[in-house]
Amino acid sequence: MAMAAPGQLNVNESPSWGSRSVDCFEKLEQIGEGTYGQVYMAREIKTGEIVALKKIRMDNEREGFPITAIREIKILKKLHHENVINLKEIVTSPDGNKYKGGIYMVFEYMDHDLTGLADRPGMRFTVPQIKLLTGLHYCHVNQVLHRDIKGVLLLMPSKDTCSNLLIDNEGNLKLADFGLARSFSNEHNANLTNRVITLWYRPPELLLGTTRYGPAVDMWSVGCIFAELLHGKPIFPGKDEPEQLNKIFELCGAPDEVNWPGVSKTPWYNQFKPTRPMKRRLREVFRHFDRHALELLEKMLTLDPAQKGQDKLWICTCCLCRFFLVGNMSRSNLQANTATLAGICIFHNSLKHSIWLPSADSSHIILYAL
Amino acid sequence: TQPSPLTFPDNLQHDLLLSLLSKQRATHSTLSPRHHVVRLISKLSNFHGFSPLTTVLAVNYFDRFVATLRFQSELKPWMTQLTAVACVSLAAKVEETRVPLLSDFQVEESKFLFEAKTIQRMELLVLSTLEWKMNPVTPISFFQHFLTSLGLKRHLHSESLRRC
Repeated sequence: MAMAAPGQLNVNESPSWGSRSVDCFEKLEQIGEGTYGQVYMAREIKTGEIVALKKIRMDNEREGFPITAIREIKILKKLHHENVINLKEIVTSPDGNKYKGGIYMVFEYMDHDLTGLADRPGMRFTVPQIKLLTGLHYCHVNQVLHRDIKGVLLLMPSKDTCSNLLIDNEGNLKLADFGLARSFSNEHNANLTNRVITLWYRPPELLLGTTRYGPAVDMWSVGCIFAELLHGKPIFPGKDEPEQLNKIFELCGAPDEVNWPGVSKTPWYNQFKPTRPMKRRLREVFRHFDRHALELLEKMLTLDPAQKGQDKLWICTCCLCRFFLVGNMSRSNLQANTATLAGICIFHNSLKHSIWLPSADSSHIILYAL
Repeated sequence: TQPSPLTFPDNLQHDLLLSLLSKQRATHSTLSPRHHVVRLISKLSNFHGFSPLTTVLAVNYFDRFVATLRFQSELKPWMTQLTAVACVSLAAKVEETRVPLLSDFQVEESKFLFEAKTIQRMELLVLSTLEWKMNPVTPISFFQHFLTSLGLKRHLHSESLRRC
C-alpha cells in the first residue's frame, strides 16, 4: 500500500479555476452566523457593490467539504426568484493553505432579517408573509424543500438561531440559508432524514420519525410563524423533542387514526404517544385572533400532513394573496390584511382544481385550469 | 410484480439483441483508462448502496474534470483514483440522504490509501474546476420524459424507476 502524501498533490500550484479570490472584496463587519459559518458584510473593490460573504467552515476534515454547503450551492444555483436569496458566486481565500482555509459564498446584501423588524410598532406583517409564501411556493414547484424556515420573534439568545427571512430597505423579502434544503421528487418519495428544521418549527410528522415527507413540512413552519406574528411570541417553544411534541398535542390535540390516518404506524408513535386524551384547543387559545386568521391557521397547523399538503390550494392562495395585496402595500392594518388572506384561502376550498395568477400589471387575475 | 413491458415479444427480437451484444463486445474497449474509472466509481457507489443517479453524477464530474486538465497524459493511476474517490464523495453529498465519512471511501484491493485531508483537498479542486456546477443534466434526467411520452409510466413501479 502506498500512501499519497499531501505534498505530492500539486494542488497548491494550480490556480483555483473558475473561482475568484476573496481579495476582490473588502470585509466591513461580521453581520451574523449561518448554519455552518460566519457571514460578513463586504464591498467588492472593483464595483463598490455591497455584498454578504458567507464563510464555509472547513474544519470537519473527516466529512470533507460540508454536505450542507454542497446542498445549498446546488439548490441556489437552481433557484432564481425575486423572493429567494441570490447566490452571486463562490470565492476562495488565498492566505495560508487556501484549500484548508476559506471558501466564501457571495450573496446579494439584505439589510435586515425579520427578527429586527418584528419589534417595530406598526410593522406590516402580512406582506412579508405573502412573499414568503410566493418564495416558498416557487421552491416547491422546483422540487426543493427548504426544511429550515425559522421564526421571527426569536427569543433564543444564541446567535446562530437568527431568522433566515431577509428584508432589504425597499421591503423586499427573501428566503435564505438553504443549508438544510434538499431536492425532492413527487415520483420517488425516497427516504429523507427526519432531523431537519429548527425544533420549534418542526412538524409532528418529523418529530414522530417519518422519513417520507413533502412540502407539508414547510407549510407547518409557515403556520408556526404566522401564529407567532399574531400571538407575539413563539407558539411551540419546546426544549427537546418530547416536549416539542407535547406542546403541539396540547394545542392541536392528540393524533389518532381518525384525525391522522396512519399515525400509529409512524416509527416513534408508541414512544411519544400522549398518555392522556387531549382536545384540539387552537380556537380556544387563539380566540383573540381575527376569525379568518384563525381559519387559515387551522389549515396550516393540521396534524395530518396529507390533509395539509394540498398543494393546489396553496398555489391558489399564494398567487391570489399577492394579487390582492399588491395594491394594498401601504395598508398597515394587520387584521384587515389577514382577513383578506384568510378569506381567499377559504374561498378557494371550492376552487382547488384551478390556479389563479395575477396579470403582469396586477390589474386583473387569470384563471388556469389544472 | 408486473411483467415488464420492455420484454421482447418473440424469439426474433431476442436473437437480434444477442447478436447486437456479441458484436458490441468486439468493438467495445474494456481496456481504456476511463473504463476502469467508471468501474471503480460504480463499485464504490454500489458498495455504499448509492442510487444510480449518484454513480452517473460521479462519472459526469470525473469526465468534466479530466476534460479541463492541461496535461492529460500525466494523470498517474493514484491521481485517477483520488479523483474518482472525490467525485463519488461529492456526488453522494449532492444526492444521498446518508453520506459516509471520507475515510470510508477507500477501495479495498487498491494500491493506494488516501487520508481524509487529501480527499477533501481533491473535492475542492474538483468543485472549483467544475465551477461549482454540480447539477448537470444526465441521461436519467430524460427518463421520466421518455417513459411518460411512451406511455410506460404506469407499468413501472416507482422503485424500479428509481433504480433505472
